[in-house]
Amino acid sequence: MGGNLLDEVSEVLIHLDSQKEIEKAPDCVFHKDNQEEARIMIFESDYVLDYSNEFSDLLALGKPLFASVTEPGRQTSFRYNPDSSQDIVLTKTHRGIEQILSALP
Amino acid sequence: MTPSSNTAASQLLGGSNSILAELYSQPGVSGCCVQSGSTVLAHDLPFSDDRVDRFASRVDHLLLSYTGVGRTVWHICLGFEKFWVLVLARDRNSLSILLQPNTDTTMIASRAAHLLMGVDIVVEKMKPAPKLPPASAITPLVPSMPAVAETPGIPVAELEQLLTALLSRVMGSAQTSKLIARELQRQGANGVALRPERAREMGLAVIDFIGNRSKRDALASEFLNAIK
Repeated sequence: MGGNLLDEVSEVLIHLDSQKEIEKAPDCVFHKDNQEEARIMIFESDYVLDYSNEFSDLLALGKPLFASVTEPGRQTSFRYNPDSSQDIVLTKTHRGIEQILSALP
Repeated sequence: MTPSSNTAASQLLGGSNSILAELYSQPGVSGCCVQSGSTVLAHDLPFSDDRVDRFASRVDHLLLSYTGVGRTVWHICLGFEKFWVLVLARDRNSLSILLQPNTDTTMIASRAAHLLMGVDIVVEKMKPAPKLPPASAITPLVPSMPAVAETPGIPVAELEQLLTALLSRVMGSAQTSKLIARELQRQGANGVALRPERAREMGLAVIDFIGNRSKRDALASEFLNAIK
């Protein structure tokens, strides 16, 4: 992905309400050059949730709670809250999932 | 699992000397599934092979949807109420590990990444030896009659346009165009026109990448209606 968000900051936190609208996000997310990357992350959160629901149906895993995608130089984590809101955390450094989740409000 | 994968299964899962034995020495590991592409090589999940095959197919699609847009996934950790699933990817091979909640995934991922290299070696050994080209592939000395052109059908550009219109409803535009271009190329849609049945087959393969089952079914049905 030719994103620029991590060129500007080392961590991005986005909170989406139950309608998948941004409720809280740093200013860099709204910069013109970063909007496409932010939009992809928001889409990705639902995309991974769809797969998680399928995995849960197949392997009887229960409700999806979070997902974390680790790539070279980038980690994108999603927390699926009980009220249908979502938190997205994008970091440059790779962290343990416990560390990511515990840092969320 | 296919009979040929039974050998791989014993090499991967069988006994204390197996490649994955070390994985089970890590706390919190409840089961695993090793696959190459969408083919399950070995698994010890408490489900039928058919169900694990479906799981593997969806894991493969998920990983392909990242690689298809130029993103290299090392691993994906998915947390659920009852279990966590850690999926490690390396080229076309992947290892899905069922974990007890609150397991130290960093430690498991680090060990499993090493083990996945061992899986690569097993998969490589399983590949059949290259065969000699069939007689039909040998260039004839006497030029033969030109092949009859395929019946004119649906232009590839038209198929691409239709798929873009459908998929852009559920995916980002950049991701949609990359996915369609990659899949059509992979399936050999290089010609000007495709027979309707071939176009249907290719379109459905692209639509299969949509994660949500109901969206996928709805778009597949709309696609089939449009391609008639």
